[in-house]
Amino acid sequence: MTAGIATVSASLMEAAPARYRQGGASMTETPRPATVGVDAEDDDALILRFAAGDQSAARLLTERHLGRVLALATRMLRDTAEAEDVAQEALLRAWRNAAKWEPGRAKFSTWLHKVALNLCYDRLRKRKSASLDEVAEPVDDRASVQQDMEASERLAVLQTAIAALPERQRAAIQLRHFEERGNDETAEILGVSVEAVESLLSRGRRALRDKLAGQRALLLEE
Amino acid sequence: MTVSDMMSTMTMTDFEERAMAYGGNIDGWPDADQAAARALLADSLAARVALEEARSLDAMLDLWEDPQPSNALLGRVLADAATVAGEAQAVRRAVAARPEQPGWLARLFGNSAFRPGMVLAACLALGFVMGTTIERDVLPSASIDTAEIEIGVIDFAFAMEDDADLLLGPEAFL
Repeated sequence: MTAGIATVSASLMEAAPARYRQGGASMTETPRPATVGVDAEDDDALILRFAAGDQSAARLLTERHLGRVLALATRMLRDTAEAEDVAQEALLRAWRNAAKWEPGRAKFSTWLHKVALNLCYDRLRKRKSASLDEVAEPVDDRASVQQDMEASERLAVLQTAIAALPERQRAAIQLRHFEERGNDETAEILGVSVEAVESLLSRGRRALRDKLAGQRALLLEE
Repeated sequence: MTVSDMMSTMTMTDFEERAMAYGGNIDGWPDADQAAARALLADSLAARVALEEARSLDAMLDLWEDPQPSNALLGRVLADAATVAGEAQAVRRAVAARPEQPGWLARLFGNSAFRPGMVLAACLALGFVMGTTIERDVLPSASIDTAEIEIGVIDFAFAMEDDADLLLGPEAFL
């Protein structure tokens, strides 16, 4: 099992750059191999193979989607342990529903993100009051920040600003900016109209711009 | 200005709105807006400023890189998959090992002692269904209120009585 995990981990590192720049594409679609092999198999075929008892299909699906689902959960929850639980639970639901999967009815990646996002919403709802208390106020003392801010601190400022956004605005920014999914798919995952996606993005990014206005020089090291 | 020119123009407000929503890379904007956005960008300093501002925000967001899944998480996910696959395989084996059971119809009609009775019951049921269906089709006005029919019959009887009075006189009924 350890060797298998190491293989998957190495494969994930290789297949998943820091950012996924192919809108809506799965992780292996970015540097897809020229030869048509197992890696080129689409998600529908893989989930059906898993339903038929082939566990190697689960490994391929995990390689493609775990990183993105984890990134979504991490940015929504800002808690590594909880984000990992959500990613694990979302994929567990995929395995459990594999036998009922209808190819062509929905995109596997969209379905999986929808499940993960709903799990995030559930957790956020449960800790609503606590999470509001946890959000730190943006640092006002610009001079001291300028002296002390390391990469992790800059990240903390950004994370705090994003965490303060309403859930749907945060999810819209995750799906559009970080994953570069199209408006249609983003709308489907969020369960809103395409017009609403644009509105969520616009309001969310405007709020971030305003929150980070004082930190801009520091964040961008200008 | 042609109709297509008018359709392809974009106001500064629209440009700022798109830049704020979709960021500083016009390639990532909705396809329908890209040409008009580039045209405005070529002519407008304000558009260039708005785009630059959106790019700055993109750069700040990009500071938050995606987390990499840990080996422990990968192990848990693959272990879940193995568990679910194992459960499904056990169910498949149990189903395969079970002798095939005939369906309820086959069990019912397959017993020779009950067969004539069941066929007769089926015929009766079919006859009942056909009968009710045909009645509905042939007598579409069957829903007429029976009270109306009764009133019509009574009116007719009184009319007949009145006619008889006129023709024969009241003495005829004495």
